[in-house]
Amino acid sequence: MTTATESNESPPGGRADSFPIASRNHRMLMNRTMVALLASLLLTAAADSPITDLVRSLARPAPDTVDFVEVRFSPLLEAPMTVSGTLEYLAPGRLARSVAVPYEEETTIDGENVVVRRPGEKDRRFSLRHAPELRGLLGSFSAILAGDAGALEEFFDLSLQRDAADESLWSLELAPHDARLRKKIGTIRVSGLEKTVRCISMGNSGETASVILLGRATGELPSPLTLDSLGGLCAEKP
Amino acid sequence: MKPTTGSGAWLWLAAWTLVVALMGAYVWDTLRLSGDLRLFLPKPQTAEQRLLLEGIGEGPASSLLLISLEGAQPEELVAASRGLVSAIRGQRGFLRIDNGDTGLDAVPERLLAYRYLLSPDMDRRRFDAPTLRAELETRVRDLMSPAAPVLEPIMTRDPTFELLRLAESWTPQHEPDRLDGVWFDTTRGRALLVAQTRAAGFDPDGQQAALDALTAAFERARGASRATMLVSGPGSFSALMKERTQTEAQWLGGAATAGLLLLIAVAYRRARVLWLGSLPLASAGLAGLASVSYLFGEVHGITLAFGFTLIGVAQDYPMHLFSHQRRGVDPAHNARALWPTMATGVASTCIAYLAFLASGVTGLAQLAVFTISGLAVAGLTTRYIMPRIIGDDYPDNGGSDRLARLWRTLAGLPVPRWLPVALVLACAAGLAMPGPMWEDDLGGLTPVPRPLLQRDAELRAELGAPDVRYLLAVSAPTENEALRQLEALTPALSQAVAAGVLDAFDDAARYLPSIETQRRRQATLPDSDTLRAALREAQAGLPFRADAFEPFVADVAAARELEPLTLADLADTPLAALAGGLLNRRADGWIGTVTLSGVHDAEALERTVRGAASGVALVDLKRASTSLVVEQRTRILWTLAMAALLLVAVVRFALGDWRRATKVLAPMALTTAIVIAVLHAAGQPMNLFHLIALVLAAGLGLDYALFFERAADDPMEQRRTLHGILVCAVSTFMVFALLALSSIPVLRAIGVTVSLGVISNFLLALLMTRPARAKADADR
Repeated sequence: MTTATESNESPPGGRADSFPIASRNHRMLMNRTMVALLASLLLTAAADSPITDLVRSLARPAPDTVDFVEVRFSPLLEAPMTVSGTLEYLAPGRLARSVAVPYEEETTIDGENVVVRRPGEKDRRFSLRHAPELRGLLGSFSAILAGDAGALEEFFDLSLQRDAADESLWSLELAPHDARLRKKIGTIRVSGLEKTVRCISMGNSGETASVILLGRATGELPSPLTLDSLGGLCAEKP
Repeated sequence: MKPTTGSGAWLWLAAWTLVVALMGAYVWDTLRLSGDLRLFLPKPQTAEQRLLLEGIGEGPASSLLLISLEGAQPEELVAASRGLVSAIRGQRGFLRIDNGDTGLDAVPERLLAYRYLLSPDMDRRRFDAPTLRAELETRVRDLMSPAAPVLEPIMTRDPTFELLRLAESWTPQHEPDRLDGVWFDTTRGRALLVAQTRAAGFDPDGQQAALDALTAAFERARGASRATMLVSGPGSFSALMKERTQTEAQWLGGAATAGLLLLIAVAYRRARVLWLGSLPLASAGLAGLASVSYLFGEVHGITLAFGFTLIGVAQDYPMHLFSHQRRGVDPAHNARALWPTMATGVASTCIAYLAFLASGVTGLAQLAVFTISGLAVAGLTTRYIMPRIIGDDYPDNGGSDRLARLWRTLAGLPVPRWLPVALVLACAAGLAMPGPMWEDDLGGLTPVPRPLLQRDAELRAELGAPDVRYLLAVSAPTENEALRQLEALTPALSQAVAAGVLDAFDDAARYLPSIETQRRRQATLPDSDTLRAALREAQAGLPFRADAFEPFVADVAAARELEPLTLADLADTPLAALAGGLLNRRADGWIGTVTLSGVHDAEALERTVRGAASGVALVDLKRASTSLVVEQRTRILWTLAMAALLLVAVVRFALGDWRRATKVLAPMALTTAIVIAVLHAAGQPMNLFHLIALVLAAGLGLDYALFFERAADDPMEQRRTLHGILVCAVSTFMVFALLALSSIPVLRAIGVTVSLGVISNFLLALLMTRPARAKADADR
């Protein structure tokens, strides 16, 4: 995706998400879109912004299960590392992440409480309150699964990009409001096709980053495995 | 006013007022009030008692405040609990506040380098290849887990997560349930917190400040919810009792003053009696304060409160003078005539208080000095200065028809010879009733309403807060030796916990290991080359970069060179409060305290402990406090007995023969017996304050009897005496009857005892001591 973004910061008096985002290259198009949007606003007084619409369209009825592959980049690692398994959306606010390969592990997130289960080990529990990094991160998953844009906006500035060539490919950027948090986890980028989330990537630099691909298998990963190559995979139509 | 000696009276009055003012200025300048209850407790004799007294003032358990939030939805309570913690944490008045919600930041930054010396897990493993391999395998998963953003930054320095192990080892062993990470009681209706104040538990002002801070923080934290906060613990009790005592003392004092003024106005019909009559009392109070201030350097709040109650007797002295004063009589002559009786009264009352001086209890000695110097000053000013300023323009009470009638009625009352015998028998019957004679509970001195105590016990059980009755004490010559003994004790105590003898224990060695233990752990740390080799081996086949853990190697190398931590190094960290509260310096060494929670079997615990380490004792604070109270009482009773003998001798000497002395002493002795019997029959065990009140009542009774006895054959003089005693008795009774209405047990104890004593003393003195010829007079 080669589009540039306009900030979602609202002009004085406007709602944060009440302006459509469009490519700078297509300012005319944007203007036209705005006119269209304004017209539609006049027709349907209660219409929402494209971000709200998009997020709402992503909502999944619980329970729902999807396969995932996660690739992690870290200065501690010789090479990017990959795990795969399933993500389960159990109920609003409740998620389970089960890793199957290369080891077994199950993490359940219930509100603020996280339990990590590994075979042969004692369960480990911790609370998200002591980890604002995780709270924002996992909170965003829940909010997307619930299709709740309002909940996302509590933590993040949102901006939406659509592929210039294919409007059905989109990418939503979540930048934490909190400057310290932004420094720690960087921005979260959620990308997808139409009503389906396909990739979630996070990390502020090339060194420390993580990309979660949904509904894919390890075999589909690009080679060489880099942030860029993964980004490309996420931005392509299957 | 019409002074007999013209401007001379004004001069005397001015001079006296000036002296009183100067004394007031001195007192104002030097007075330092103390609220330390220990001043009213005897010197500890045994180690157990010493610990008790130290524990009362500054022990870790006494500055704990137990907090419960209730009356709202659980999620509102969770929010309020968190808000309260974040508002209070870091405030100067608090050493800590916990709601169960402790995080990774439990280990202070400054102590990070010491983690390998502090962590108990270092006793069980080495940093060799197999150990590191197991750790690193887990770290791979941590790195791939959703928690990676939190764990990754600490992994390079601390791949074994020693910090987390350390933080875990510091969490309480026995904790309340949690709801959403925050402590709740088992019914889920109350969010629980525990705070430790910097102020000692028995510093009511410091505790009040802490309570105010909590209340203010809670008001903000609860937001719009209807949550309420309850705070319990010794500190909140002392603040509460101080406030209630002050409030009640204020309105009772106000009511008593109003009544007193009214009574004096009616009795003397002269406005100047009001303020001239108050000069001896004012002088007495200031002289008392000045003496205590000078001798002790500080005055206990209780001394101040009770002192003024006790020297209220001094108000009687000028009243007698006024009652006998009439036109045409030189006040100096009047004072001289009354003096032998008054002096005997002053002297014998002082003797009674001498008993307290010899009690060995600082607070009581203060009380004695205050009362004796005050009464002496009141007596002397009444004798030598009052006559020069009061003038002689007073109605003669001797000529009062009403008093004459009253006297005849009273004198006409039959005095059966069997009265004393009957009274003694009645007292014996009263004393024979079942029930405890004495209050052995130290808590009886600062009684807290029962519902509050009950709630405190509930919260304590829910929070697993340290038992208020049992603890273990380890004494050692040095700080480190104490820590070593505590460490030696740990395995046995852990076994006892496992066996269900108790729920949990806590001691300083959990937070600060002994130097030897720290050295031993240090010695297990490999040098950098060995550690690198082990890491290389452990990393084989894992995705970590070869140099990923260089910061860890550097930290271990630094830890090998560290000087072991001591208590002094912990200053300004949260550990200072935790470890410092449990390890204290004494004059003769160090005492480590092991606090115990949920002791189910004290005997089994004692057996366990006895074999485990030397210099360890199971302290039963209840037993210690009981023995302390009993010893104190025994001593006071003995000194009172001595004082009683001395008093008999003084009265016998002053009156010249045994017959008169017996007549004077009998009402007082009988009254004392009656009051004790009534209290006992009413099921009220006596405490220290009852004893003080009994001495006060006895002093009053002696005065009444002395004046009745003095009333000569002259009927006019008898009426004047009756007038004086009536004013004194009614005013005293009024003041103490008001105190008897108080809801504060201490004030009530004194009020009931003295007002009973006044009635009994007045009636018995009237019946038994009035002159024999009075009856003839009445018959005539």
